[in-house]
Amino acid sequence: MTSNFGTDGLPTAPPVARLVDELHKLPGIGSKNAQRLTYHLIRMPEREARSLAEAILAVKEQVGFCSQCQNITDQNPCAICANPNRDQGTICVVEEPLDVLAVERSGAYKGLYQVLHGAISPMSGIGPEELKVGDLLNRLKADAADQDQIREIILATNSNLEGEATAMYLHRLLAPLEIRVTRLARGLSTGSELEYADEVTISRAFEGRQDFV
Amino acid sequence: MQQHPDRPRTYKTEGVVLRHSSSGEADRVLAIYTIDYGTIHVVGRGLRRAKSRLTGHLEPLSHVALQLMRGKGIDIVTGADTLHGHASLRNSLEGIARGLVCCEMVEAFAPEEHPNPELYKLLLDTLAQLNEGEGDRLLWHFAFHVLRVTGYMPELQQCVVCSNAVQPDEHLFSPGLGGVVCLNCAKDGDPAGPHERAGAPLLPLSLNALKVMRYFRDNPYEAVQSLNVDGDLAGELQRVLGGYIHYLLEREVRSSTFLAGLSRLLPTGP
Repeated sequence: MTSNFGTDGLPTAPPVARLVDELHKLPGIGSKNAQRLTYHLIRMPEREARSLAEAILAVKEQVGFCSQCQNITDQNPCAICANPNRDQGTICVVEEPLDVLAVERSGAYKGLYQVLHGAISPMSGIGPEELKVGDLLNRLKADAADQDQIREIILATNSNLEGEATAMYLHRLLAPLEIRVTRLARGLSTGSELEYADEVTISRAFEGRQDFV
Repeated sequence: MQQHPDRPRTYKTEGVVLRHSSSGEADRVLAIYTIDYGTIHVVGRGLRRAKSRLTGHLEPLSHVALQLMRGKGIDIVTGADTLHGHASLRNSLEGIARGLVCCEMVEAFAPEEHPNPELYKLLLDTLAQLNEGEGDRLLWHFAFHVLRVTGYMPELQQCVVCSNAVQPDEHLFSPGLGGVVCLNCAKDGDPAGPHERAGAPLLPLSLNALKVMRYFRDNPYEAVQSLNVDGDLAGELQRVLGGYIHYLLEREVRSSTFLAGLSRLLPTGP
């Protein structure tokens, strides 16, 4: 006979306890939230619950990495890499797939991407070998040997310690390839006030100042 | 998380940001080594948003003045001002890695919420000197003195097994027993001697390495700078000190592994 007690010792039907456990594994979901979501799902019409379950399965079955830019996609190459209207000569290197969306939302960039899936974090034991750096290098070498289209690599990693460390690493790694390597401007963000800015931000803003046009 | 009745509802202190990690929608949890409370974990609301006024002040390696508020579980940063951003340290990959070695060592060796003014000053001085361009030798000096001020300084004067004064000769170092083992005790025949049971293999320790270790222990960094430590000796010190720290922490210092691996991963130096 199966026990009617969940992992917390309370009388919970095993299917309910299982769902609570599964939801609890998600980031930002504590045990109380997991219980709340579970009971919400129980009350949900079956059609909606099925649709949610199918959506989760579809993501796992149909979505993978683009072989060229390593972004998450349901086709290979992804829609951006396959689009002939995008500038094939620039690659914007970002940490996460969500960063691609942020840049796309701005509409300021029309080139290609490379997603690293993380940033160098020495204290967490995440080094360059844990990132998709090799894919970028292989892509550049293949391009140099074939069409030689790529003119510029834009390092668009975050402007925090890990992002800076990653950018510095890539800059040194790419130096022998003799391709132009640029870094996104760092300094004051739109809407920020000088009074509250830290010394590193202000000194970077001075270094990157431009002619007033 | 425990409550801290010893802290007022809002309080001020200063500290060095050791590490940060993402939390919630746009928050960050920070580990900060403070002068008044030792290592504390606090949350910075909205720090990951581009418009956060505090985020630039709360990057790892920064020395900051802090205003905090007691939270229900975890305390909340309400204000931060950079006292020293160590900007030149951040300009090189090696610099960042060296700074993080210091932060990781302090986080690992300092018990939480336990102030240690000597360790605090050592961390600040070392980060400032690294910022001036000092290199790996300063990290050794730092490591020795972290061991000293946290009570883990290895015994270098007498044998940790027989307690006799160490004679000028080749010896062994036992990470498990925390000091020098004289050759007499080491060749006692019994392979399951006390140092074996302590769980870490004995490391060879040359007379020169022993002298350098004592010199590092007893002198300020200015004196150590002029010391001639060549390749073999440097390797031996690295093995003994690294082995001892690995034994104490039961893990490697990850930033140190990263720093050592940089030359292998990159074609050119700084």
